[in-house]
Amino acid sequence: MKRGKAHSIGHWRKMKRGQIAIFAIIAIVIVAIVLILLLYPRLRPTIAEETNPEIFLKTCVGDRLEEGISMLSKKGGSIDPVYTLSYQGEKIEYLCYTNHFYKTCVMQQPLLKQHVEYEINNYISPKVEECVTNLADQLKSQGYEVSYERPKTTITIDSDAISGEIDLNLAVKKQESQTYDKINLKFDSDLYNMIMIASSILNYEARYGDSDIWTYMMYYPNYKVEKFKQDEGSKIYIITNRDSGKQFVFATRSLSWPAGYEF
Amino acid sequence: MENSLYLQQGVCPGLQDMSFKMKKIIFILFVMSLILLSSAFVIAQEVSYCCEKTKAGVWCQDESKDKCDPNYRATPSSCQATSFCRLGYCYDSQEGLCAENTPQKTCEESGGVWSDSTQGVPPQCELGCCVLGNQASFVSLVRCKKLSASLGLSTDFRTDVDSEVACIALAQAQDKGACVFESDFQRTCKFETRQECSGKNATFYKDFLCSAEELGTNCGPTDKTTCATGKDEVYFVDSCGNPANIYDASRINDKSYWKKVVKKEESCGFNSNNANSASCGNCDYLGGTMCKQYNRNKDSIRPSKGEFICRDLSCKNTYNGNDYRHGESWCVYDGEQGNGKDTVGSRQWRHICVAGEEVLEPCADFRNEVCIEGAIETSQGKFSQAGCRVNRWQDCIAQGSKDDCENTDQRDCIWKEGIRLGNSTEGTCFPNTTPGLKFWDESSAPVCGQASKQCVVTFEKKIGTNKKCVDNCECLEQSWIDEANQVCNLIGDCGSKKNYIGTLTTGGFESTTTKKG
Repeated sequence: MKRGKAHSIGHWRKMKRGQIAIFAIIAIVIVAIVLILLLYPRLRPTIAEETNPEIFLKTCVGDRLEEGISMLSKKGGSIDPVYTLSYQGEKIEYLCYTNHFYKTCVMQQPLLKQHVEYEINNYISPKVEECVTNLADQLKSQGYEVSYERPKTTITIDSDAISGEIDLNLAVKKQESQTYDKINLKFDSDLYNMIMIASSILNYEARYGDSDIWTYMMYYPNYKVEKFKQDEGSKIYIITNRDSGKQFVFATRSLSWPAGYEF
Repeated sequence: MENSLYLQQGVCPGLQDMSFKMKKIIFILFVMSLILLSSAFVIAQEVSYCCEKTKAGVWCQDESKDKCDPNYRATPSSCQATSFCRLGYCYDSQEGLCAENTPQKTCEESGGVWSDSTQGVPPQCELGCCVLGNQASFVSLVRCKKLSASLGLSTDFRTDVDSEVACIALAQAQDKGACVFESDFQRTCKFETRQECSGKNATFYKDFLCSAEELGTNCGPTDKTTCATGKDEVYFVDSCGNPANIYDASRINDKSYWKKVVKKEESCGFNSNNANSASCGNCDYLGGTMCKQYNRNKDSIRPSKGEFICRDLSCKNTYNGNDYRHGESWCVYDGEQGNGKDTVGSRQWRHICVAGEEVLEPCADFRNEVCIEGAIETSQGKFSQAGCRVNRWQDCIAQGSKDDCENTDQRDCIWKEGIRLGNSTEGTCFPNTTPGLKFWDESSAPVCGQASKQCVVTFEKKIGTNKKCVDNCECLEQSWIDEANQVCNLIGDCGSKKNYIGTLTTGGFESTTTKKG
């Protein structure tokens, strides 16, 4: 009875030691996993923030994009407008035009949003190439091996932002390699809303020969819409965001009347 | 007895200050050039081309052949008659928008899909009601899909709704309430429409607010307020960020006010726009207020709870010194107008009060448009509405009777009794708002020349007496000369006339007396 008890106590002690060993092993494994998880990014050869491709390109392209939007917004949606009306020293493109009197205009930019996207794309593409080259140079100077294709940029104007997708197949290698097939950039902008208002005004100009700015301002309280009638029936429309002060300006000529008596 | 004739002339060739001889030469040259131009015009008419695209980059314009872009089609006819410049709808499949009056090539080069407008509105351009949560938009199906996707909603497009008003009403009639669900082991809630709630594993409680104690969610009352998208009013916000009922400071501790939705018409200050009210957020955009974040420079009072207030959108002390309500519009003139008194260079203006700002809209230049104004009676007094419309003066001078002249359904003219022009005897019909002319170039000369008139005055001299006027003697009086200038003024920017800043030009009118025999 006594022996039996002693045997059971020894067995219990052995089992307890075994359990402690298992718990210790589990604890070591957990600690190791935690340490790996915490330290792994530091162990990897990561790219410094200032040369992080997304941050670098957004900073590098941002000013050029802002400049391009500012330019084309004042000129009817084109960087280098084709057929224009001079207004306060600026050449503003006709987006709906007829050279006749008493006739409604012919639409010149039916897909205005896509046209503006195309214009922005053309304007920033050389800068994107330059920025990608600068990025590669910086990474190389930090000891990275860099390879990339000629960047192809696609600009999309969304309801609250302008998005840029840069397709460049960038590969960066230093011990380990990282690849960036595409880099997406996003810039806050309300250009979309102004383009949509402009498109609606153009449809009114094409159908009826004029539009009522009061209606637009009542429907869109955040935007001010101004219309300035010029000589020979041309009109300048200025759409202004009341909060940001940003504008979109364009010209039309529709259902105009000659000055004085006609002979 | 000796008779002598005097020719009295009142000439108004325009407003230029030139010698009469010089003007005569210019007039002859002008007439000759007009003849040459008109013959050239006839020739040009014969060779007018429809350019699919001009060298200047404009689509589908009637121009001379040399102005057409050689890379595009051109044909010696009007663009209306060509197939390549036929106008139609250009469909943007990406945005679901349709542009009208677009030539086929313009559309296709832009990446759109073109449809001939003679076939009617293409199906993809037909509009329906797109329900977007608690809002709605009257758009095409593709546009609806795009808008729904951008808001993370399933597409709800109703083709049976055929007007924008019905569409908006449909959105307002949607069931709204508390959408209760489990998230992170918590019973939480979102205030939304039944449609928005239906996609989730949630229970919808119609007309309940998320802060209702009965629902047992983690959302409760707060003293914070907010502006809700697409809404005019200031709303209370619950602790989960959901909008509750319209802000009413007196009911912040009223549990029943945090339980169920209270209609706008049953909320505080319903019959008022509650401009600058510290305690009530029942704003009314059409009534002239809107929810805005409090700004000490714009709002006269701070809200007693929260940071949002019904901002007064009316315009104070405007250009004409009056105050106007949000949405009102009125006419402003550059000095005297109507009754033939419009000054040179003047135009008419429509002023609009929107969101506290006075916006100016000039009517067409050369007074081709006039500003008309009316008022609607409302419970808050008169509501002024103005607009620019075409000035119908073109056929005034052709009218021979007072009745025809003053037929306001047809034209905007005034009858001047006793004033004779051409063959008229009793009076002459003139534009009420005189049209502007390009008085600085020759184009105004033939117009103003219509008002020039001459009068032969006969004198008789008997032996031993002084010569005596026997016929048309009134032509020698100052009143005849004044009337001649008045006629000039009445047909346009002719004669001796003031401009809109008050400077008088006297060189536009000449009176001469010539002895003929």
